[in-house]
Amino acid sequence: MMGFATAKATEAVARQPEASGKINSILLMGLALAESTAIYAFVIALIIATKI
Amino acid sequence: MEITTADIIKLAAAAVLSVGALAGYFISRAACGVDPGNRKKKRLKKLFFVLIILAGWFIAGTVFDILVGGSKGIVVEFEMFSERVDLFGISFAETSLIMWGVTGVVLVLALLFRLFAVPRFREDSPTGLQNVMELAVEFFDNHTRTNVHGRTGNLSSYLFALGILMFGCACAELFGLRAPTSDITVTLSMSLITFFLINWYGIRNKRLSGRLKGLASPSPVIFPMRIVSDVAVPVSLACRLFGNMLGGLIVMELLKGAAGGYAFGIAPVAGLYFNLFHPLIQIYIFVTLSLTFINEACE
Repeated sequence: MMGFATAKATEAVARQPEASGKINSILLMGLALAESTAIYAFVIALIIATKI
Repeated sequence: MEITTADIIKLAAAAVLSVGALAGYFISRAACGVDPGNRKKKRLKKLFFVLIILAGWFIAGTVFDILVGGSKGIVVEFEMFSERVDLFGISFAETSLIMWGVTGVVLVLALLFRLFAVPRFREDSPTGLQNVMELAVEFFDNHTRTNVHGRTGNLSSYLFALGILMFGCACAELFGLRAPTSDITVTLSMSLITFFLINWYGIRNKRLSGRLKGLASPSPVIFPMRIVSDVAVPVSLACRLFGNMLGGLIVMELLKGAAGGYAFGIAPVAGLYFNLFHPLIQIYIFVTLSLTFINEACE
């Protein structure tokens, strides 16, 4: 999923280099949102492991 | 602290390596001195220089390893909530004390900047510190203005303070303290402020009726779902920051536990990524997501 996002962002920057700043910020936010599922799983794993 | 034969062999190997590297360095340097244009010998000199650094690291690592008593395997003692400390008969969480320390340091630094650095700032030719501070302030200002369309008031100053505080928390981890942001109560309180701000700006820009109408669009049927997704916003913000910070903490603990004394020289380099770069990205994401949700409520 992150690979797709990065590939598309690279394509977009290659097509329009002057928009790289905007594309970069959108990419970072998308990556964070994609990553958050893994983070939730991590937090839940911690909750289970430490038996709270 | 026991010195076994394996330790002596390691120390001897380190000594031989360092002596060899030093000898090689000086021999190749002498050879370079006669013929400065020779590129091959220069490369040899550089190689031996790297070898000297490696040998030094190996010696220091071995000595620390002996002093510490070697790597004890990977046992990370970890609590989701931080330890309690008794202070004047009241039980405090360790992270909240660290948070007070960080806040105090940031406040003192801010006061020192205001008193001594800011009066010396010049409008025509900014230098050094002024450039850095202008960069930070302008980043938050521009970010707020481009993301939120509407009256923002002092929002950018609040976000700037939040960013500096979170960065200070991340820096506390460099000193071996537990970062306050790796405590879920701290991150949850930060995201609850964001939740309050979302509703505050939404109601201020559109009145209460407009805000409720915005929640009920396009049809009143989805109103309960919108409420649930609005309540999920602070939870998700808090869990994201908490999980990322705790992940960094655990990775660093594992690294220190696995490498023992040899973590000397490796842990600080890894810490630059896990304790400085990663928190910076998380600050950016926290601020951007807060602004996005505020903008959503305003429109």
